[in-house]
Amino acid sequence: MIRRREFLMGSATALASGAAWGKRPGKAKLSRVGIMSVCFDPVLKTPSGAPDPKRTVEIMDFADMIAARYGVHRVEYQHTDFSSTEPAYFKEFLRRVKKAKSQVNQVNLEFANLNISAADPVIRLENIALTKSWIDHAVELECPRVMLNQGALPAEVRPSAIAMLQTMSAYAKTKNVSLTVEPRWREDAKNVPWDVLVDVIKAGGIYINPDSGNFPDLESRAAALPVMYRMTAGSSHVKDIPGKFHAADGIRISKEAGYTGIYTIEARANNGPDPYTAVQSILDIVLANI
Amino acid sequence: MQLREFLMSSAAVAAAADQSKLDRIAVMSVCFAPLLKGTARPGNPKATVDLMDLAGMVAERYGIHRVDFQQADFPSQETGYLQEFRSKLKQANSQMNQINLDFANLNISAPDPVIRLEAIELTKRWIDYAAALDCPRVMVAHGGLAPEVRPSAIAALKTMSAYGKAKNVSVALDPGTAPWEAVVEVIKAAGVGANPDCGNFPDKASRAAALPVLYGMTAGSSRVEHVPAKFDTAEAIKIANQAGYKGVFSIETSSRNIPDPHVPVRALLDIVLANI
Repeated sequence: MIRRREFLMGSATALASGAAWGKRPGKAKLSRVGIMSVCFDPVLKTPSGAPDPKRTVEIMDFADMIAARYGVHRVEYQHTDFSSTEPAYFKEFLRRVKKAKSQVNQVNLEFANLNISAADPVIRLENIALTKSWIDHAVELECPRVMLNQGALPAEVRPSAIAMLQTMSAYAKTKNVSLTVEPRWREDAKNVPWDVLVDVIKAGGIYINPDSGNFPDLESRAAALPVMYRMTAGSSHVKDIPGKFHAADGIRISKEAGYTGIYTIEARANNGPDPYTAVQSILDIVLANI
Repeated sequence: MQLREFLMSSAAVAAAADQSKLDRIAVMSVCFAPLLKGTARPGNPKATVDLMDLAGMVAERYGIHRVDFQQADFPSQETGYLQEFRSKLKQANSQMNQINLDFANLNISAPDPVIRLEAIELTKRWIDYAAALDCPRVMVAHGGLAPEVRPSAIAALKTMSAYGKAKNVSVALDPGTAPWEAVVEVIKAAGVGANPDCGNFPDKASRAAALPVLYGMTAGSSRVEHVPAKFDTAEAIKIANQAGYKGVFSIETSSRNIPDPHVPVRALLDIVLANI
């Protein structure tokens, strides 16, 4: 549970940013904002995080902390955040999320060595089976979206990757869960061009989770985002990487595309050493621009 | 009774006796790997048997109505495919004896809790598939069971076993490459069954010590192999008999560099029939 001191500090921060309870002009705006658990990786207690005294926030208290501190009631988790997949665990997890009057916005899957770009059909089937399990868990958490990692999608695996997406999507539809993938870009990685990703997503019958941070340059970002913001399942990621691009520009593009969905904040180390402040800085940009 | 009737009756009794023995025998799909069509073995010209027809082929050729499969054999896990598979098994009056799970990089010995959870998740999924296929057992890969990961491996197995029990599917473990005493310790602590395999021991002394223990804690099935240079299969079956084992002996032969996979299967079947 969030402690009183932390709550007051959080409220003070919100006040300073003009988003205090009672006079939050942006309650409607806040309802379109989500926050990812990865923003708080240095302070969250998760099974994937190495033991560290700085990790003081239980994952089950995350929704409560976010609601109390920022007035944001949508939270997004990585599948690696969950310490159990038993029904009783998810039941308690959901109870805690609801207690904070919040909703799990999306669960992001990052399986070790398993993704739809696998050349080995056995690995692909393992990926399908595991994804189906997490679609079931999303239902247990009343979560409407699951995001997959598509891998590098080299040309030779694209047909099998599309077939997999179709299988996963068919299953997800029976559970009222939407499947998404996001554009990915890292300087040191093999990245699929955004237009190819769009083709795979269309053929696979799934959705895009636009992420304004995941492009190599301003030109590709400007070209891709209008297309992607028209293919969402109702949610997107928003980053701010000063020196590379402005989060406000990404939001402007989304509005021009007619996007009315959720902006989920993804703050990283380059947004500053204190995750609470980093998230607040992006929240301020989002609230000022949506 | 006339001589002709007597002879016919004797033949029927003999056949019945053989059938009761055959009912305790299974064959593993890996024995026929070069003959099987399927996504796990693409492009092999000898691969002419559809996985769904394997049980029919084994029943017709050997009179054996139990088949063990690997999870990697299945080209699909969709409900329609599994239903069709089950119907083909029933057509052959056969049963899937066990599904052996060997996931890429995922097992109960993983030090990373996220990887262990993924192993649990996939195992649960396969327990569901086993239930859909009327298969009573799944066998999981233990991944080595090093002392430092044994407590978490036991916890993972307990979770799998609890789920399996709710679906009437047993979870089994074979010695593999781990010390057999460690495997016994884990099996007892987790409340799962052993899948004894006479081929999986480094020497005769450990085999002779382990098999009586393991045959006393099975989930109803075991494996027999035939490696004359290493051990005597008949001796291993004798140990099983002495331990009071009444379960299934599942034949495992190597099909590597063998022109006709049926030859080693027939040879091992003869040994099993002569000794159980």
